[in-house]
Amino acid sequence: MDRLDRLEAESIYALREAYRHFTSLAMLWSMGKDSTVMLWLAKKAFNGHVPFPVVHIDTSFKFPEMYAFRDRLAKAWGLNLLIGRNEAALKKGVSYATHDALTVCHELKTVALQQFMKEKQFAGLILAIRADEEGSRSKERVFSKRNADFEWDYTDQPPELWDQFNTDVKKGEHVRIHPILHWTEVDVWEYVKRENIPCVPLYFAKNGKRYRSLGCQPITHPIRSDADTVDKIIAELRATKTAEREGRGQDKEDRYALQKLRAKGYM
Amino acid sequence: MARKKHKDQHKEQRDALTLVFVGHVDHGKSTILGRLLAETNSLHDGVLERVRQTCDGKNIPFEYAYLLDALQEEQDQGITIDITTLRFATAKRDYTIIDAPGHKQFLKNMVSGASRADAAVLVIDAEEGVREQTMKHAYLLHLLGIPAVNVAVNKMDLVNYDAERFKELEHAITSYLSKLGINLLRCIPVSGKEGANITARSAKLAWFSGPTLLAAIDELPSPTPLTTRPLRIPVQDIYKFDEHRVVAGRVEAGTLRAGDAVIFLPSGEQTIVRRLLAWPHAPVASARAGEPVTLELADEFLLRRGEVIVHPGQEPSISTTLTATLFWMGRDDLVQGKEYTLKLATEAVTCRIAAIHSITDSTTLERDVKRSVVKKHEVARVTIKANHPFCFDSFKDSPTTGRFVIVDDGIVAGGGIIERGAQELQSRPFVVTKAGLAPKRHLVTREERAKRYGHEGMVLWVTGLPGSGKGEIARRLERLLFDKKKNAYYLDAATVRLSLSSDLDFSEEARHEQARRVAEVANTLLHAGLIVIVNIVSPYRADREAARSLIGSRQFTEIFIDTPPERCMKRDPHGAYTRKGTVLPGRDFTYEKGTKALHVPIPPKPDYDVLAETILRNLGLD
Repeated sequence: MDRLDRLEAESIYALREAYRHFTSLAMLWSMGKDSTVMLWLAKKAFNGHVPFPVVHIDTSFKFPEMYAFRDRLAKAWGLNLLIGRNEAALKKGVSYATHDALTVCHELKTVALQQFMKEKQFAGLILAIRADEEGSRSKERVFSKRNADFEWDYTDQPPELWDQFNTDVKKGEHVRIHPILHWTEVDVWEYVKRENIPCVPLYFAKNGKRYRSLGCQPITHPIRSDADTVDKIIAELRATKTAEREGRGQDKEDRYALQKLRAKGYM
Repeated sequence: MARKKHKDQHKEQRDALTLVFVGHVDHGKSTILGRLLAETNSLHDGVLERVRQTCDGKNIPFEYAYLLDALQEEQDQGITIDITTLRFATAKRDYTIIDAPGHKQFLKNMVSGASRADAAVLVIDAEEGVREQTMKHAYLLHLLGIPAVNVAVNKMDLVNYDAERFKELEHAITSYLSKLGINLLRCIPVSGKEGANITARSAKLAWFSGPTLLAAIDELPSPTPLTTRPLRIPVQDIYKFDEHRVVAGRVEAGTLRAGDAVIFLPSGEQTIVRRLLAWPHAPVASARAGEPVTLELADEFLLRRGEVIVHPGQEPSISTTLTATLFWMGRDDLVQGKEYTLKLATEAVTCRIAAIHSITDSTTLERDVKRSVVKKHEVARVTIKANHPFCFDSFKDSPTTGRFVIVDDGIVAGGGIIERGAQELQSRPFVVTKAGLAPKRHLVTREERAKRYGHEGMVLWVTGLPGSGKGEIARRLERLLFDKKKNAYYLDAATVRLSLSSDLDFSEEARHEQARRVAEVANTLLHAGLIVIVNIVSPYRADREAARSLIGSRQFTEIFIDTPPERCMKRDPHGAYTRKGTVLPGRDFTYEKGTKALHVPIPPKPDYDVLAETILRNLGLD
């Protein structure tokens, strides 16, 4: 088995464990490359099916190309797509024009997710975070518990060994499942290539620019690039020395910004 | 889900190794790693820049450890709290590096990281020398079965790069590791802070003739795949998304091919693997250790998560009892006799710690046998007894099915590696197979026998309290079936106690063994084509379930003769309740009722003939 085979096998095992242990289970899908690869892995794990709801936490500030991709793929793959929005905050006018990025992210993503989880009572939530993205994500377990207030106690995590995951939850708590935790950015693209997985067109260069990481339109910036094919993206990433999330505004507000967001329940 | 066609397109088949860095707190693991990543050009510009800003803000020199210790608490306290995963590559292969915390408080995080590793680098401070966590980590590497270890003697700058000091430490750690049976490949002097001998040789270490740390890492052997071991596929789940029911699992060891004959254990169901599905591609011909599988089987039967798919003649141990080395990480002590959940691959069983043989001090390797509790971070040799039999191997024979975790209050609290199933006769009730004794195929088939006798063989397992009247009913079942031209045979467990089981008393252990022997005899008679009517108290549910597993649930019917205990004691046809010193179910301990039994309540003035006929009618044997 090569590295991609090993990663694929690990991810499929975790997805099957999640499906086995949680009757109320959902997967977050941001339409980004990572969560789309994870959807594909679910189809592999469940013989072509995605046997749980797929949730988009919608800030309403995503790129039009992302919404189009979402609706096209949901139809083509027969997904049970659910959409969660913090309508109250949107009505109040919370936006990048009026608030700082951390507040908007908290309100429209974390709070939206909290409201959604409270309503649907999912005990298991599958997310496509990767350890190599950012420091606090590198400290995650594959199965990671959140308390009723959505908090992550990263200072005292239970051991996780030999694929024996901590799946016990009390009422109100939920377990976050991270099937692609040990993948890197290049792994994801190499897998996209090998499996021929569809991706949002924004990732591919146009007029000398492409998006390396996708988020909310107002705070997500393209990089200079001529990589207009998957092969060229892989070559570019092998050579690059800039971080993947350089183009993501919310990370830059504070040195420990993402850690703080994540301790409160951010993805 | 092998994908040969696709793999060919995958030009770069690079070797990969997962490596964990362990050692005592503050001996400089993160600093060495930070240096290694920086010198091999493996870091993003943003990362270096951010650490530089952080250090400037704190008014300290550039701290390589911050490259890994990303949590605010880690940087403020200058220690690693949880594991960090990183990647780097050399010309030889790709590395996944796990930085494990060295502080005692975070040992469980170290274990989580190290459990995923193929090899390890143990870091020792040249000035402080071998400390408590150095030895504890080395001991855990040994328990986790990590075969290849390099030692880096760090902070050589603090001892003026002294060759004598290095040799002294090399000697100390080598002798400790060899006592554990760990093969120390290389011991290398380095300075993470000054960058000496990490990726490039240093003039200050001119006396050292060995390789740099990076070169030594490249020398570490790759893990050997488990593809040639006996097949083990624990059933993970059963799906019916489409027309066919499929079994989901992962090949933990060995290789499975489409068309293979397999056995599900402990149930003993046999079938053929028809297809290995591989969405979105066509079914594949085979799957090897490490790969996930989705299987279509030739036969329909009751499937359960935790059963293990094996090839005939290569069965694992099937037992309730095993001996293992266990390391404990729980908040509460491990207590002898308390109930825990044991999880091995996809199986989960309720168990108790039957015996604590010894507790090992991982620093002195001394054994302390006087306690009945195991404290946090201690290692103990224990015998564990589960409530029902399950499949396992010794760690040596099959590592992935020879290790388990203990769950306490919903949280993984300990990990163990299996030495063997228990050897004592009475505590290894259900060991099925030994290599070389694989059953030979009969020249007369089961179908041929069934055709001649006019019926299939089966076992009617009549159970209940002593004096319940089960013998009256069982003997009538034999008479009635015989009169209906069936080949029926009454097997009285009491008679077996006079012959085959003359060595057994009425203790709990002996009752388990007695039930096992009667089940084996019944199974043999069943294979001879008979309808076997077993008359046996068998008060423990686990024993009856084990009999059901052995015989096969399709051929096994449990019949519970339910007479109130007071009435049994009053009847007492064999004087069992008047004998002194006997411990009896219903009076001295509880008879464990089964959920799958045909329930036969006995009225105050029973007509056993009518009851026997009713039972046969219920079973469709009239």
